[in-house]
Amino acid sequence: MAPRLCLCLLALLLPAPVPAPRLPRTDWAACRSLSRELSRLLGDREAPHRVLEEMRLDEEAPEEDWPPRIRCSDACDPSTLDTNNTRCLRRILQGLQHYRDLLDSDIFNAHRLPLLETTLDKLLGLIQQEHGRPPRRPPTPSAVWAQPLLQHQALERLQSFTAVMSRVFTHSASTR
Amino acid sequence: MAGPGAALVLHVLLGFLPRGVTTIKCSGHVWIEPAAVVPMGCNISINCLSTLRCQRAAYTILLNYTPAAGVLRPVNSTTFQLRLQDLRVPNWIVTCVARCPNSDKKELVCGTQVLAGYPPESPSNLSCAVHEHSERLACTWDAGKPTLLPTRYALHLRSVQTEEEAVFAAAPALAVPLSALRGGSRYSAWLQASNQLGTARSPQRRLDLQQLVIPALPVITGVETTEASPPTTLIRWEKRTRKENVRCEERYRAAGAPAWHVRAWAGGPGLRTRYALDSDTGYEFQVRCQLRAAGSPWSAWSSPFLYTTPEAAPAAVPDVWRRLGPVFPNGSHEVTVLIKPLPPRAARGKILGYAVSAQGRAAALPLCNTSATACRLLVPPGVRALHVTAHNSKGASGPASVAVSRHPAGDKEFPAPAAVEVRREDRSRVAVTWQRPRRGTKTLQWFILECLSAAPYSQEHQFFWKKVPKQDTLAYIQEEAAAGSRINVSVYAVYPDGVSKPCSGQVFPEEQFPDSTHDDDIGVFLGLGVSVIVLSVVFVILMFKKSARKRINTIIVSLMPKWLLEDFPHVENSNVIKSLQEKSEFARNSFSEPFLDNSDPTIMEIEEMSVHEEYKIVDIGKKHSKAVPEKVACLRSSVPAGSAATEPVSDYKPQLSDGNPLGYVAANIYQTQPHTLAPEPETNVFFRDYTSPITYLWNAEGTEQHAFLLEKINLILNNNRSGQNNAFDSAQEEQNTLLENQWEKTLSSENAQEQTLVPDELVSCLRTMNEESVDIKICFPQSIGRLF
Repeated sequence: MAPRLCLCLLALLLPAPVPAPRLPRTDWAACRSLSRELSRLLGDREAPHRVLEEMRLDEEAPEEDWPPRIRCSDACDPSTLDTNNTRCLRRILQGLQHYRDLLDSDIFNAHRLPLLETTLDKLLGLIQQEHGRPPRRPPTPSAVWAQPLLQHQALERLQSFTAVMSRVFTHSASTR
Repeated sequence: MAGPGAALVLHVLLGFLPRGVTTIKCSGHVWIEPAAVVPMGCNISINCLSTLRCQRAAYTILLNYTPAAGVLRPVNSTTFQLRLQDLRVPNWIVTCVARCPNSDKKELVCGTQVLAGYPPESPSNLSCAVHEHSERLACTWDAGKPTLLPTRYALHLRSVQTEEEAVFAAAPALAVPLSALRGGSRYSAWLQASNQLGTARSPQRRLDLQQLVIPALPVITGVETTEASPPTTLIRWEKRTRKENVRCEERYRAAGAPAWHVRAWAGGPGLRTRYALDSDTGYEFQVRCQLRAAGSPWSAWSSPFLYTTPEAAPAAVPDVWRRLGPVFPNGSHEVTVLIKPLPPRAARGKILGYAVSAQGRAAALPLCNTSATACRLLVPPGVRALHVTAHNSKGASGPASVAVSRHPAGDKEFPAPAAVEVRREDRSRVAVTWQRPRRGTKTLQWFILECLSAAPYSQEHQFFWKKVPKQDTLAYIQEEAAAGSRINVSVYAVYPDGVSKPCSGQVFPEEQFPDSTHDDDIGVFLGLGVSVIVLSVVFVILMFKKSARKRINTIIVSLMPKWLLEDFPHVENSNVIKSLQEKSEFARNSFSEPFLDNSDPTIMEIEEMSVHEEYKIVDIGKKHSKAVPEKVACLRSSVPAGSAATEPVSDYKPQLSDGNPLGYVAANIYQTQPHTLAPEPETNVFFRDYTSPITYLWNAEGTEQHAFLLEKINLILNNNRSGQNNAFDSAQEEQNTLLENQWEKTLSSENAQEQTLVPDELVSCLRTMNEESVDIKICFPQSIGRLF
C-alpha cells in the first residue's frame, strides 16, 4: 500500500509534460517582398561620382569567406532548399548582418542610407526569429579618402548578394 | 530547421574570425609635398608612385573624384607628379588611378587627403561658471577665425594653493567635473588651441570657484490679471536657489515689439511683480540672476514665459462721421453713419459690433446695431446728433457723437474752414491745406476731410474720410487706388453740437488737365470721320471708273513676278521630274529599252499640212475606233512597241480612257521616239512663242498627220481668245481666219469653257472629233462625252 501511495504522490509532484516550444516559421512571402524591395533600392541608386563606376577595387587581404557570399557549398540550390534550408538561411543571415553593420560604419557616415537600413532591419528581423543573431564582425575604421570607394564597393556587393537571396526567397515562397 | 545547438556552434566558430576588413588594396603610393596639411594658399605637389605591372598605363589624378586640371609630369618610370598652385580648397580627396591598355576598368593606385587651413588664433573672452546644481565647471571662449582644420582646445588650470596643473580637453564643449579639481577653489586658467599648423594660448585669468556659481533661476508659478480699470497683471515667482545674496532682474515685452522693459528686483527672487499691460496682447517674460559678489557672472536669460492678457472694454470712443441723405416730407432724413475701427490697443479685444442711437430730448433711441463700419438709417425729425458706441466681450466704449442737423444756425454759429487747396505731392500722396475758421462762439473740436475720387471715363467713385486734429491745417491723403483720378476734397469743422458747411477743392490727374480732355476726344473723332469719308470716295471712284481699274490692273500686272503669270509651269525645274529622269536613265542603261524622258520638252517646229492630208488622217482614225479595244490599239499605233511598258511611269495622266496616249505625251514619253519628225523652222508661225508642253502633244500624235495637227493648233488659238494664252499677236490670228471659222462652228454652242480635269485643248480636240466621227466618241469616258 505504502509504495503505491508513494508512487501516486511522486506522480502528483512531477510536473505535467509540457509540449516543446515551436519555433516561429519563416515568412517566405514577406522575405521575398523585402528582398525585392532591397533589389529595387539598390538598383535605383546612383553612384555619387561617375568615376567610381569605371574603377576596379580590390581588397587588401581578401579572405576566402569574407565578406559573406552565397556559394554552391551553402546549399541554396532548389533541391536542397526543399529538404533542408538551414544552412542556406544561416549564410543569408550572416551576409545581411555584415551589410547592416557596414551601413552603420564610418564608410557611410557622410552619406546615410536610411531606406536601405530599414529594409535590411526588417529582413533581418524576419530571419532572426528562427535563427538568432549571428556573430558580428564590426568593420575596421577606414581612411577618409577611401570611404567613398568602400561605400561604392559595399553597395555593389550587397546588390549581388541580394540578387541571389531573392532567388532563394522566391523559390521558397512558391513551394510552401 | 536550425536548432539552438547548431547556432551555438556557428557562433563559436565565427567568434574567432577577425574584424571585417574594410581596407582597399593600393597598387602604389600617393603622397603630398610639402605636407598633407598646408596653410591656405600654399602650392603643393601630388605624387603618385605606381606598382602596377602594365606598360603604357594612362595615369590620372582625381581631386574629389573629378579629374584634376593640369599636366601630370613623370618623375621617373613609375612616379608621376601634379603641381597645384595657390590651394584654396580646404579639403581634397586625392586619388591616383591608372588605365592599363586593353582594360575597360581603371586600377586604383592609391589615395590620400589634403587639408588646407589656418593656424589657430589666440582664444579670447574665456568665461567659466558653475551652475548651482550641476557640479561642473563650464567654460566658453571666442575661438577667433575658423581654422578649417581639426583643432584641439584644452583648458589648463593651475592651483594657486598647490601649483598643480591639470589639463582638460574640450570635446568640443568644455565641462570640468568639480571633483577633479582638488587644488582648492582658486585657480589660474588659460586655454590652448592647437592644430597641425600651430598652437596659440589665451591670456591667463584667475578663477574662484566660489564666485563662479550661478544661482538657480526662479520660475513663474502663477499669473493673474484684475478686471479693474486699468487692469493690472500680477506674476508670482518661486525661488529655486539656496544661495544667499542673489540678485535678479527681469524683462518683458509685447509679442513682436523690438524693445524690452527691464527692471531689477529689489528683494531678490521669490516675490510678486505687477504690470500695467495692454489688454488682449501677448507678452513674454524672462529673468536672470547672479551672486552679489564682485565678478560673479550673470546667468543667461531664462527661456521665455508667454502670457496673453485678457480682453477689457474698449478704452476709447471710435471716430465717426456721417453722410446726409434725402429729407422726407415727414421731416425724417436718411443718414449713413461711418465708423473708423478702433486700433487694437484702444479696442482691447475683438470688437463685436457698433450701436447707433439717437440723442433725443427723452431717452436714447436705438437706430442701428451693426458689426460693419457703415450703417444707413432713417433719422426721426428733431434729432440733431447720433451716438455711436463700440463693444467687445467685456463691455462698450464711451459714446462718440456726430451731428446730423443741416446747418441750423448757418455759418455764423459754426464757422467753416477756408481756402482749401489740394495738390499732388507725388504719385501716391495728395496734400490738402486749409485755413482755420474764424473764431466763433463754439469751440472747434476737430476737422473732417471728405475725399471723393473718380477715375477718368468711369462712373465709379471712391469715398474716403479722415479725422484731423483741430490744430492741424495740413493733411495727406494716401492715393492708392486713386492714382490718376480726379479728387474732390471737402473740409468740415466739427463743433460740440454741430458741423460747419464744407469748404472744397479738387485736383486732377497729372497727365490730365480740365480743358484738354475734350479737345483730345474731338481730335480723335474728327480724324476718324475724315478718314472714313476719304476711303469711301476712293472706293466709289474705283467702282465706277473703268479706266482707273484698268490702270490699276496694268500696274499690278507689271509689278507681279513673271512666273506668276505663266500658263504652264516649267516642268524641267521639278525635282520629281529630275529624279524620274535619273531613274529612267538608269533603267535605260540597264534594260537597253526606250524609256521615259521627262525633261522639259524642246520646242518642235510644226509642219503645215494640206487639208486633204488632214482628213486622210482622220479617216484612218475612224477605221481604228469602231470599238474600245480597237480604239486603244489605234491610239497606240503610233507608239513603238517598246514604249508600252513605260506607260504607268507617267506622272501626269489626264482623266481620259486608259489607252489614251495623250497623257503620256504630256509627260513627254514620245520625245525620244525615233520616228518623230524633224523640226522645220518657220513652218508654222503660230508656234513662235508657244512653249507649252501641249505642243508636244501635237508633235507626238501628229508625226505623220500634219493637217490634224493644224486643227489642234487652231484649237489652242481658240482657247487663247478666251483669255487662256496671250502668246499670239493679232496679225497671226488674221492669217488663220479660215481655220478659225472652221472651228468656230463647233465651239459656238459653248461660249464658255467648262471646268474639267482634262486640259481644255484636249476637250476641244475631242469635241471636233465627235462631230467628225461617232466611232471615236466611244473611245472616251462617258463623263467627258457629256460635255459635248
